[in-house]
Amino acid sequence: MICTGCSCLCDDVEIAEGKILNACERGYRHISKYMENRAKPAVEGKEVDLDRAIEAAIEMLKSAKNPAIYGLDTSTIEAQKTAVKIAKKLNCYIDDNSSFCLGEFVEAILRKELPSSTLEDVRDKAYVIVYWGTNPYHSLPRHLSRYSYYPRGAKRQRGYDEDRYLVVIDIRKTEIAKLAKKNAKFIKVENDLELVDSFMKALDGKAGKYDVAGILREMKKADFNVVFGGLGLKYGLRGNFKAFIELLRNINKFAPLYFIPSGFHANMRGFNETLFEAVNAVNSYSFSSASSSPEFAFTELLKREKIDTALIVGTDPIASLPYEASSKLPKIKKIVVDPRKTLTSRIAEVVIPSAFSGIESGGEMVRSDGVRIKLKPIASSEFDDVYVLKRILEGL
Amino acid sequence: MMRLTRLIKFETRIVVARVSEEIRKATIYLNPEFAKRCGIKEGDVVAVSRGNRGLRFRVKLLETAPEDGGIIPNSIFSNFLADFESFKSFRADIELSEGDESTEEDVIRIIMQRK
Ligand code: SF4
Repeated sequence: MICTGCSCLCDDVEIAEGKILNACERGYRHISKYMENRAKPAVEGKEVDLDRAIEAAIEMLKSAKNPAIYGLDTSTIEAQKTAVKIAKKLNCYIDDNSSFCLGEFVEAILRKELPSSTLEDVRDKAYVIVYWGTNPYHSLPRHLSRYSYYPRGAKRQRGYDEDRYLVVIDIRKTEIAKLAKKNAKFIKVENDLELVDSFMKALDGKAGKYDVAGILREMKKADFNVVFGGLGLKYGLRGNFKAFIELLRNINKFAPLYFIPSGFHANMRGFNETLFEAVNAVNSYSFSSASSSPEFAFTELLKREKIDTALIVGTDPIASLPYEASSKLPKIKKIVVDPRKTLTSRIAEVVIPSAFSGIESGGEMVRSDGVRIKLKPIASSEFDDVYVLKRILEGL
Repeated sequence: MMRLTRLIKFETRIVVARVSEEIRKATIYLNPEFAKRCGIKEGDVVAVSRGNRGLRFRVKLLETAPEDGGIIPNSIFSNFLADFESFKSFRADIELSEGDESTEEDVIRIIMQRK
C-alpha cells in the first residue's frame, strides 16, 4: 500500500498476516489506528444520518453570503478537483494550509523560478544535501533513509559518510543536526536572511556572518546538490522569498543545486498543483475576484471577518491556526468533512464523516517532489471525500 | 517547603515543532540545562504566558530543545500562544505553577468565550 501518513507517500508499506511492515512509527500509527475516534454525521450537535448531514451542508452553503472552502491537504486529487468545482459554483474563496505553510515554494517551482528534481534523483545522485529549517526526523521520518542521506544511489555507491555531504541549518540542534559529524556541517542560524547574505558574499569570495565557503566548495565537486526547505526557512525569510530564489539562481551558476519543499501534509502539493492547473494560482483564491491574493488566505479571511460559512475538509483549524484566526471560528458556520472527530468538529454546525485516503479510499496524490502516486487502499468505505463533495456539488 | 523559583518568571524561547508522541495534554519539552537553571524538574507544571494569553504545561526534558528554552509540540496549545509572525518560534515567560496542565477542552472553552 501507499502510506499517506506524510508527504513521503512511501510505496513499500505492506500488510502481511495482520502486521504493518516497513512503515515508520508515524505511518504505523496512521494505518493501525484508522478505525479509532471516527466522526459521525451530525447537525447542530445531534447525530443524524449521512444524507441529512449532507443536505444540511448544502442548505448552509446555499444561504451563505460569503463562504470559503478550506483544507483538502489529505484528500485525493479527485476530491480536490471536486472542491474547486464547488468553489467555482459558489463563486467563493478556496484555500488550503499551504498559504501559511510551503505554498510559496511550490508556486516558485511550478513557475520554474526554483529548479527542482525528484527524490529518486536525490537518492541516486545528490552529494551536498541541505536540510534548511526542517527536521524530517519527526515530520518525514523515512526521508533520510529512503531518499536522501543514507541510501546508496546509482551514482552514490560509497555510503553516506563518504559519498554525501550533509548540511543542517536550524535554530537548534535537532536530531538530524546531531548526524552532522563527518563530511557534514551544522549551522545554528539566528537570522536566515543573514545566512542568505553570507552565501551571496561567499560566492563573491567575501566573508559574511556565517562561514559557508566550505559548503560552496563541496557543492562545486558534484553535478547534483539539493536543498530541502521547511517551515523554519519560510518563516526565517520573513516574506523575502526573492532573496532566496536569487541565491539559488546564483549558486546554480556555480554548481547545480535543486530545491524540494520538505515537511507537509500528504497531498498539500496536490492541492497546489490542482488549483494551479485550474486557475494559475496555488492557494488563497477568490472565484468572485478571479484572482489570488494573501488577503484571500483562509486565515486572513477569518481575521478580517470576511466570511460567514466555511466548508472545512480534512483539517482541524481550531487546533492548527494561531489564536488570531482560531478565535474567529466560533463566529462563522462550519461544515466539517473528516474521517475523524476533530476539535473543530466539536464546535461545527454540520459534521460529515469521510474515509481515510489511501487506507479506505483510492485516487491519486502528489508527493512533495511533484511525483504523482496512485493510492492502493487496503479497506473500503461506502463514502469518501469524493462522494461527499460530489453530492454537495450536485445539490447546489 | 515552597521552592524559591516558584516566585520567579523566566524569559524563554519557545520553538514549535513536531514530536513523535501523540499530544493530548499541554506538554513542554525543556532543555535540561535551562530547566536546571530555572529550578524546574521533569513532571513539574509550569505556566507559560505571552501577552494576555497563558496556559499550564507539564514539563518533560529533551536534549534537542533550544538551549534557552523549550519545544511545544505543534498543537492547539502552541497555536493558542503563537501568532502569524512568530508561528515557529516565539519568546514567552515561564514560571512554576500549581494545578494540572491545560487540556484541549480548556483552550476550546477560552476560544468559545470570545464569541
Ligand atoms: S515516512 Fe511518511 S509516508 Fe513513509 S511510512 Fe512514515 S509516515 Fe508513512
